[in-house]
Amino acid sequence: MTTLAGELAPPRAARTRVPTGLAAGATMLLALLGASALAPVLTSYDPYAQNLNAMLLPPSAAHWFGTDNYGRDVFTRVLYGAAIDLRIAVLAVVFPFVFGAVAGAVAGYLGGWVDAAVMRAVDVITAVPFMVLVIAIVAFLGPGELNILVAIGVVDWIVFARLVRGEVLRDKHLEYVTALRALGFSRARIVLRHLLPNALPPAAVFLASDIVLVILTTSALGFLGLGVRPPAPEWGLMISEGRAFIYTGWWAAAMPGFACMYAGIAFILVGDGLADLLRVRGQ
Amino acid sequence: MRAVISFVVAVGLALSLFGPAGAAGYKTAVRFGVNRAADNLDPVTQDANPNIWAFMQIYQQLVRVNVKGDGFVPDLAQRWAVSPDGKTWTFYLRPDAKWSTGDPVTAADAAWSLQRAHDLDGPWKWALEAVQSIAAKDDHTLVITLKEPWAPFLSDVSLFSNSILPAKIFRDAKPEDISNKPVGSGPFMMTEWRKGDEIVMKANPYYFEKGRPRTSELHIRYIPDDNNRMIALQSGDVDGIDYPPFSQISVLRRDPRLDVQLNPSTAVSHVMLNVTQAPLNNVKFRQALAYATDRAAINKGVCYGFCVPATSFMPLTTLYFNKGLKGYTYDMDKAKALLKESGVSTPVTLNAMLWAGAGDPQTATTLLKGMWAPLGVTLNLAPLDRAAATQRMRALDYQVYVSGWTNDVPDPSELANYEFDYVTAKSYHTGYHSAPMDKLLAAGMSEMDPGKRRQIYYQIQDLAIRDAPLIWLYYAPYTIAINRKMHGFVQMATGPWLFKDVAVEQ
Amino acid sequence: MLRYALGRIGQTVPIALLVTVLIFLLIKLVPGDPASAILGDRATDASVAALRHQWGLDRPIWQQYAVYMRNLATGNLGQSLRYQSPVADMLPARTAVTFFLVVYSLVLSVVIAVPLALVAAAYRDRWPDQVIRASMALPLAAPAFWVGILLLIVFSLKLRLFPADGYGAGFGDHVRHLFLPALTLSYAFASVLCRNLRSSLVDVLQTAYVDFARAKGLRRRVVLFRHVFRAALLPAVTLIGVRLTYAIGGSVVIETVFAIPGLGSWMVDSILARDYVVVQTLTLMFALGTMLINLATDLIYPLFDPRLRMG
Repeated sequence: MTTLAGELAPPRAARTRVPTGLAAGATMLLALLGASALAPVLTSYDPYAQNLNAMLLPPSAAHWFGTDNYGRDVFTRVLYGAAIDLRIAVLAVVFPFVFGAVAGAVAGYLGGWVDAAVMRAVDVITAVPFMVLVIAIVAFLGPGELNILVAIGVVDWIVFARLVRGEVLRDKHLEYVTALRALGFSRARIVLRHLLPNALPPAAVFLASDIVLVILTTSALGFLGLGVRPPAPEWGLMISEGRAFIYTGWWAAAMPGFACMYAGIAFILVGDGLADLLRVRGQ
Repeated sequence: MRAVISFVVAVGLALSLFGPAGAAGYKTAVRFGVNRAADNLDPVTQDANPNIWAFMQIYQQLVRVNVKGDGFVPDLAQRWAVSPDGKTWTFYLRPDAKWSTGDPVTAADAAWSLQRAHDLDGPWKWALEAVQSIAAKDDHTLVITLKEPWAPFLSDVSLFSNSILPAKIFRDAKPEDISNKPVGSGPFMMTEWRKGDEIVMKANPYYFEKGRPRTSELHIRYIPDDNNRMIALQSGDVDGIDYPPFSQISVLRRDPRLDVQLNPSTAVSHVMLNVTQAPLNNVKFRQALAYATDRAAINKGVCYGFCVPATSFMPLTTLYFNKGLKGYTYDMDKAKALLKESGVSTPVTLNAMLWAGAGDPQTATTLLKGMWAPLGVTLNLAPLDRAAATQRMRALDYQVYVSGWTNDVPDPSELANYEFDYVTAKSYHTGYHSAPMDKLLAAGMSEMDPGKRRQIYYQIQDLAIRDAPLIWLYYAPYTIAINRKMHGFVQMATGPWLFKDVAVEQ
Repeated sequence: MLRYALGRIGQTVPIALLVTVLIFLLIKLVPGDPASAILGDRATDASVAALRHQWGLDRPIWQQYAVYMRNLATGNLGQSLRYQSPVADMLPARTAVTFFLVVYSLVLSVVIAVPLALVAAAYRDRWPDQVIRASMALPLAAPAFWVGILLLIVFSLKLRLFPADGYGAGFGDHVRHLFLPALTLSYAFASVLCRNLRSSLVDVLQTAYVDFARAKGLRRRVVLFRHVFRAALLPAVTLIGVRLTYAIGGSVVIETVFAIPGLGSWMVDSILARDYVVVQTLTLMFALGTMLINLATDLIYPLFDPRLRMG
């Protein structure tokens, strides 16, 4: 397993109640989403409005996270940026999740050449480091939000395919599946309506940590100048722009980084918590 | 084993730094950090500063622009003469000039080099356009005949693309050999080139000027990020760096070990407008944008006040720059009035092309977005990689593009023709085309009387401001930061560094 | 064992071939004609046609692939259009830098993770364990390039302890120059390794033979080192292989942050300069490196695991 799922599995024995980690992660996420949605109320600044008389001001009561080189309020931009980064993160994992799960389920159930074809595709994509392949695809397609989604989609589905395929392989010889087959249900129906839903939980758990990976990747692309367009308050782009001012205004680069880390921790906690819950159910 | 060898090498290097290397009290090598890597050292085909500034250490030209950028000094040619009809130029080469291989530089080499520059389809072809023939009269006399009298000829000959190369070595060589294994008669010769990392040069032992270069090695190291480059300077990894950003000038100046220079340049930064498309084809609309552009604020936002707001298309140091011009002074009321007159209905959306990682142009574009918004003009920033941006600029497939020009010669004709002559470069790729302008440009090329020429270029500046195919933003100085132990460093107004007099104290 | 090894190598070859197809197809993603996109500003119709011909773009696609493979087989890795020199000439020096960086980061992660994991396992569920686990969760969520920038501010800019760029000359210099980048690259791995090692240590500690050893009266520390640690090392070996490939991917960004002349910064530079052939070749090199590491991990694994050795 080349993914975070195994690494993030909770080291402690599962408990029966809702894990504190899950509750904490969900709260953190809700807080971030709420703050981002309520940004126009929470802050009186415009994320794009420049004020050349307030360039690179340090954090203060007026500017909690300071201002950047255009005099824009960094706190405001971090809040508005949450909407962008979380949107990309969620959109970027939806396609690979759906496609990977279906491909994995079909491959696992049908076996034969279909399975071989899917697994070879998985092997090929596994052979190139995730970051390198995403960067290469964006390099050839050109920068921009849509191209980021495409690049991550092309590379990221393999993990879900592998997870679901493993589950389906285990389940497909179970009695109920044999019974369904005997009852004359179509193969498509068996796979999509019965096997797939049962095979999804591990993939769903992995989804949370995959989102972390996608957030980090998106911000890295923004940092390299291959991501979202300026002046959008995307976190990676903000770090990249703020990097030029580490001598005079470290906060411009540091604050969006903390935001990134906050979101990442929230998702990790949710992922760990879900994995915990799943174990409980499995017992 | 490898570790042991490396260790021995490291100790050796460390000792050599303290030992009596080179001239007493000076380091063997000068190390200089640059923000862009040189990628091609063929003088004829290149137009990027990092390439030009690097190969200018290796090659010589017949004459050179002086440090201030407003006159000429002898280089390979000791003296020159022009016939009374203005059509025959004779250059007398110095007899003591030698290639870094030890062979003498001859007029035949010069003739071959200039002929190549003349024939090759490069970006500098215009510089020798007036040339009829090039001939070596003897070993040290070169005669160039022109088709017609040509006012800026000496200026054109001084251009780096007209560098003199050894014909014997390169006549039958592959074109990439000139770039990969350059040979010249200048103060330095290239000994190692780790592409995208470092160029190592050694002193040319045959350089004609005795006692020069003062240093025996010159290392030009590519450190793309501004912070890394500044830290490298402050930690002593390099002795000097180019382009410390304006935002950090005051910070660096607090470091007593550093000499932070703002050197006069021949640069002008501007906004290109594609005048072939509505609404930018409307001159009143363009004037409205020009009036809505607050140059003082851009100077503050981009240059932290270290630039000069632009008043003409010409850089400050250009011959015939009209100091009396005011250009467009920021005036929002006038801008709104002109917008109304133009009949362009707002809101209007314009796409501003950018190349990713553009730095100052990106800041300027972002500022423009804020300045033009009150007019009802929405500027959309569309970053592309640099080559794609250039391609679309050339195809007139853009609307607004912030870019800049650096003069390579003191004469205004190079820039004026590039910027307003449709045939040369579609008027700086704006698509601007004007008959009165064409007439003035032609007159500027053939008029030999300096007084009359000045008047012609004054008129060109006035007309350019009125028609506003571009909006000129600011004149930026070159920024350099060097360790105070580095002596003799000079940067020319045309950009290249002179390293031949440089030595670094230990 | 030999049979296992040969079988594993046999599996890698067709994958490697398919990887070349994938990477060959990458250049087809360029919107429009790659030749004119690459030549960009100074392109003439003639030069575009010449480049198209040189690359065989005027031929059917399967022939283009055949040419690509023939070139690869003869060691022709393409020509950097930007530098006008063969990629193969520029490759060795830069590969050495990236290799040094990746191995260095691996060493650092082991140095960081192993003691922490031992402490955490020994004090399971008590405060040292809680602190270590909490602090090890943070790095997973932080963008590596951002951490790199913070390290740069603190250690290079403020404390002046380490250089901020380059690779230096000589082993000692490399170690000094690459310390911060290797540290940046290693912290995420250290975190994963620490968590993983801790949980396998905990698992092993609960098994019967440890209880037995303890019952024999062996001291706690001896038990931990002699019995538990060796058993827990096995999963860590696989993990090291997996994370090495992560480190290779991460090097692309980190080399850019620290201005290190390795493969990663070259790739980013080439992307920005539209030197597509270089991007393509470097992607292939990264993929080959990854496959070699995966293969090596699989071949080494049985040496540690007695069950596989016998099978």
